[in-house]
Amino acid sequence: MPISLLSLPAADLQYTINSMDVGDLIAFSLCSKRTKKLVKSSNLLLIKTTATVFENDYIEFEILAFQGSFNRDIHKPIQFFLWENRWMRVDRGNGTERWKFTRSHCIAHFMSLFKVRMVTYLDLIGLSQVPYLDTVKQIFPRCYTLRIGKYCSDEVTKSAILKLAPVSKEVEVGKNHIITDIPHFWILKLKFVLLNDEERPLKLRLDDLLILNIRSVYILNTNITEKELNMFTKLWLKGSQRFYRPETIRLHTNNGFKMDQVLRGIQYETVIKDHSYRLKRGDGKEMTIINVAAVLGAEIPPFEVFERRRQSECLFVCVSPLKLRLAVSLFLERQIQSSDSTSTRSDPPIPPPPDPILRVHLHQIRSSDFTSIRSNPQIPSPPAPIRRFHLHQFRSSESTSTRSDPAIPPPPDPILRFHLHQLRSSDSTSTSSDPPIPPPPAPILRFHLHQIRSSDSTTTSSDHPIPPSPASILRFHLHQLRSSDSTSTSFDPPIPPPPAPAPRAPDPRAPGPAPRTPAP
Amino acid sequence: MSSTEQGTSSAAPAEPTTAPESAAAPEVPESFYYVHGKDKVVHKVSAGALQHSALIHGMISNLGYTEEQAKANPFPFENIDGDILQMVVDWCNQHKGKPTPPEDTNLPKQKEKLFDLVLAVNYLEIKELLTYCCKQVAMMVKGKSPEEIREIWMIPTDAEDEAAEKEAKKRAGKEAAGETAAAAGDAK
Repeated sequence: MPISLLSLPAADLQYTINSMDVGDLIAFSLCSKRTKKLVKSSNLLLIKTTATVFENDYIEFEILAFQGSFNRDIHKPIQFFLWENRWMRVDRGNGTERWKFTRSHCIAHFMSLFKVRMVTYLDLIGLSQVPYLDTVKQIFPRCYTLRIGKYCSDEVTKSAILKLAPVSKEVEVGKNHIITDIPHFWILKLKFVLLNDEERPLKLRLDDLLILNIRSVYILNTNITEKELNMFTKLWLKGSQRFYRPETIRLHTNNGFKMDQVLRGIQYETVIKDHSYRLKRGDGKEMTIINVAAVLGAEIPPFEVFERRRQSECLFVCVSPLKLRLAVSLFLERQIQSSDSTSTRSDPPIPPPPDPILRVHLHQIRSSDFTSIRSNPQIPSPPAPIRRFHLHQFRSSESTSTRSDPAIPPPPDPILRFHLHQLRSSDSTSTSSDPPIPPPPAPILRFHLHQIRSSDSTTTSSDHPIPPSPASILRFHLHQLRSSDSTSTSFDPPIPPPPAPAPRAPDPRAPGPAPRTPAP
Repeated sequence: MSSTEQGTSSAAPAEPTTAPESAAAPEVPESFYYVHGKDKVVHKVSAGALQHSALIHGMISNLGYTEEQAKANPFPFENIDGDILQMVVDWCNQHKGKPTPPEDTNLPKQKEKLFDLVLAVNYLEIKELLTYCCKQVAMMVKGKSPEEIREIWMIPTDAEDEAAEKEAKKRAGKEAAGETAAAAGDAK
């Protein structure tokens, strides 16, 4: 004989509901409006939702949630297989069941149940019909991360970017060549863009970098030239725009970047510890270039990382993604290990990581300064900054010594996160600049004259800071830049190339690592 | 039942529950109380066992029965079936002075009995048993589809809910109209 649950006293009813697992709660919520209300008031918490859209009007919807009263580790995703005009199939881990609900009903129901307005991930897999994107947008009006797979047709990829990127916060695209066909792609106001087409390089231009409105960009394969990067860096140095939105730009290339060309004619400081180059412009904003290849022993082509500190702007330039990850991992591990063996004894030990993400306090990493830099003042420990690395980065670093190790799969999310001021320590302030750059063939850029007049790229640091410009977008006239370069004093020695490749990555455990000073 | 003679049993309940077998402690005679349900069958329960129930414990503390008085005046729980009360008493006796285990396998598996047990336990305010019962109720629908859940727990559909709501409103309106008519008649 059945029992009437809803006639239980309110407290017992709530306790009973809180004792149910996620799958049962979702099923219970579908019974009626009353039960849905009860579930909404329970301790059910959503972690993420993933909608994967396939051809032939088929959608897989996955919910990852947990009960507040249960251990977080025991949760498992619940998958819904949804066809239009057909009952849905559900997999709660014990085989598929059929529930008598249609897709349109259940998606809206789930969104309401978890009190969210967007799905976390919207994946488009192998779509070829452009009009179907309207249906997708109707079902999922908003999403946090839009992922357009490389098997989607070109038209679908382009239309999906145009239609769905504005309702997303992050976009991942599997086809590079489509991006060049979308004129306003770089000015989309997005938090993160990943272009993960490793086969075809993206034709990234200087203009794209200058108009960029995306906070973080990660391109796995681009053929941007050192000259353009050099130009971009110079323009950034001369500019005074406070509203340049990008914080991180990571660019990978198969050919490698030549550091001396990227930094030609630019005044910078070399930080020996992590082989980075620090650039500072008149208004105090900073950019850092990290040569991870040098850290690795330069067995791979060099890659560079630009970052602008404090005012949150930076640029990363590097080689192939796999190598990059190895390089970064090794670099980080070496930092930590050397910090253990260096002379700064007053630093507290690194606490064990509480969870899969290893957190290292920056002042601990800073303690690994090379002892040869005697002129550097003692940098006080920052109050809060914490360096976070995913464990797989460390794992991958272990494999760098043996070249035959299998490739590490790329992580799903951007993994390189660290506070830039950690790089501030252990500087060796070698400053250099190159002879003037030969004039480029055609004027590409525009800039306001007063910006150039105020400071030349090769002038010394006694220059006055550039006054802020009213314009929010960088525009420079190239001929002006050219003239400024040509008139610059060229007695500075050339930019040192990245440190010479070592046959092997140095043993980080070796006591008292010898500092590597850059070539004058 | 309502006799309230002052006795000496106020301190009695706690002692035997903690260490009934300990030889070292001085022997304190365990006091017993009597309860009966709808079927009027009287169950003898020790004060230690009855401590699980906040309701009965409060009654004992307030009434201060002697053993004779308790025997003459069993606590009546007319709204609880005899077999359900028996289950509750058994559970209380089993867990007398013991820490409550995380799971209890002695709970009834029959749905209707479980439901009655929840109501009884809720009335008697036995928190630990209520926790077990609610978990057991939740387990009834484990892995079930919405249709099955609706059937097991007798969940009305939205249409049925709306109809019931309408009917309740209508009834309330009628009652209000009847009251006003009666008030008008009285005034005349």
